[in-house]
Amino acid sequence: MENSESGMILELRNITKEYDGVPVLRGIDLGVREGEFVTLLGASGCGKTTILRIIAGLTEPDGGEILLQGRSVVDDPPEKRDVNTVFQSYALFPHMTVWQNVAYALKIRGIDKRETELRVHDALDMVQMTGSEKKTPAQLSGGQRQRVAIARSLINHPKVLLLDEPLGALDLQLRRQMQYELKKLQQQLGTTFIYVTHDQEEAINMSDRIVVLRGGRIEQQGAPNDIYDRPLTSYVAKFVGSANVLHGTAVREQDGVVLLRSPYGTMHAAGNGRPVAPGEALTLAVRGENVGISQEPLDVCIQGVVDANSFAGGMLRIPVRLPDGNEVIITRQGIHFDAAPGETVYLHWRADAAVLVDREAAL
Amino acid sequence: MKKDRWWLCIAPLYAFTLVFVLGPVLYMVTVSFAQNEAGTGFRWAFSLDNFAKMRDPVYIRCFRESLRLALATTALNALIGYPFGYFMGRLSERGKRIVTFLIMVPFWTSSLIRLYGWIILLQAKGTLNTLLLRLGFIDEPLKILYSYPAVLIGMVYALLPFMILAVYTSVEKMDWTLVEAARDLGASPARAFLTITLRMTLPGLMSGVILTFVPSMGLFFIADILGGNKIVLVGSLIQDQMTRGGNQPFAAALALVLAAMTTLLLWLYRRLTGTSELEGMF
Repeated sequence: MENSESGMILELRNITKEYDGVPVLRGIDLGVREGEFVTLLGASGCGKTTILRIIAGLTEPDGGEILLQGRSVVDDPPEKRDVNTVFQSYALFPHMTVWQNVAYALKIRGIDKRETELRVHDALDMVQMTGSEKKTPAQLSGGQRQRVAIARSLINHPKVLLLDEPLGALDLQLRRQMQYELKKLQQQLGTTFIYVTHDQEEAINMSDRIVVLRGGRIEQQGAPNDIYDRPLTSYVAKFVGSANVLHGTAVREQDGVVLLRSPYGTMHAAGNGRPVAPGEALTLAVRGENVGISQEPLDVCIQGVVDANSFAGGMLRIPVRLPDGNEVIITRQGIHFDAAPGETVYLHWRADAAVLVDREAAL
Repeated sequence: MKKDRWWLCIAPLYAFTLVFVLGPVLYMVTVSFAQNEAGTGFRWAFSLDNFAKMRDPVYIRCFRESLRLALATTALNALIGYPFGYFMGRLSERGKRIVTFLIMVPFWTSSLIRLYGWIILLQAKGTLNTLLLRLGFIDEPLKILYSYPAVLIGMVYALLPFMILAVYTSVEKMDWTLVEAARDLGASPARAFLTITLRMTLPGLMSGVILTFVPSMGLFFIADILGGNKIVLVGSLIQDQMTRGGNQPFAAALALVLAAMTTLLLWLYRRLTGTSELEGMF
């Protein structure tokens, strides 16, 4: 009743997996809607690639259920599952030409020559690789191999396409371009994509939904802006968009704004609808771009000393050291900033720019 | 220009090869056209008699027998060695070390001694027959020793490690993600093996074939020891002519024809399998 009728093309139920007694997946429940672009985001070792391999049938789960269009495929070998994979290393067959690589799945299924001809041509056209049919993978650049790998995996029109860090080996510029092209391709085809990455920027740019994984569990899932604006845990806040995480004690709550006391000053954050008891230990997350800096103390602010700046990706990162040794990273567009290293400053932000995280009831 | 001096380091090797490999070969070729002179060795006079002599059916049979044995040895080695090398390549690191060790152990003993071991195993009242008789598989001892099967067993035994290690090396280097990709694209395990694994490890199998075929064309002492006097290979013939027969020019001619035959077959083999990976081998 909740399978394909619910619009779920793929469902994972309580998937568990151990390697040599070490749990890698600790009960993954995940539903993916038809045509959705879902990103599994997490640091290395969080289990994201294992989930992908389990869906593809390349790794057997210890427990749990996998439903593809409402039908259990957990016992099916990879060749029987209507999903295809774009491997991190591309895994193009080195002894075959581009054409033979893309045609492989059709040849296996005994598709006749004329249809093969048409479909391979279309697939290569789709990834703008026509003209390279006779080349071997060794003669292609990284980006071109990537395109061929995508064409090869889409030739069978899979229900779900699994992509394992497909852009990981490409340089930044090419990666950005491929992000855009992949997203466009996914929208054109309407194919369900499950995309694995450790790059939060990639996840935010491409996904309909981000699933943040940590230690074999789903930490939080939601639309990119949801995850970005309303992280539920300090881990998500730090991992997605590198927010600053600060600890304090609740003073009071008024008009949805929670006031906190900390060793470095007073802070505030938007309450998330849950009552706050005075004296309760709280954690808040605030992003570097939302932190203001002032030479004079304000009513609600914390004090720190400016450290050496660094400039990266069009952004200036200004670390401000707090009295207890912790750092708050402030970010600014451009290269100009008017506080010198060593200067004592006061940091402040709007209450609605900070969120309370790690509240167990919210998890 | 200084950059080009590197060849100076290799020059001694080339010089050595030139003197001690090319030299003897040229000498052999020259001698093969000389005339035999009973008692005194040979006379430097151009003649084709040595080659003409080989048209004798006795010698033709000798060549045919050698070729047949070499082909059978190579085929059996491939059939046994490929699966062995394949599964060896899929073992854990520890397993690989143990199996490599076990393959190497026999090399610590002289191959001659090991052949005498085979005599003990294969003779009429030997270990194999005793075992088969006791188990009731046979009623009277098999006459394996001093027969073609005994020689074949000995040849396969002697050359199998080369096939195994050649296959193992290429299986070791295999990128198994490719097999996963093939399965992902719809290939059954057997289909993935045939289209990907076998094709990717073919260079190993090919070098294994060469490593076993070339020596098996010339190995003669196995046939001498395990075959009695029944199977006379070109190798034995050459040895015989060099020593007891005392016809050095004929021995040289036989060796030249054998080498030419082997080269021709390898060339044909390469053409048929259509691979260029082994380009540098001959």
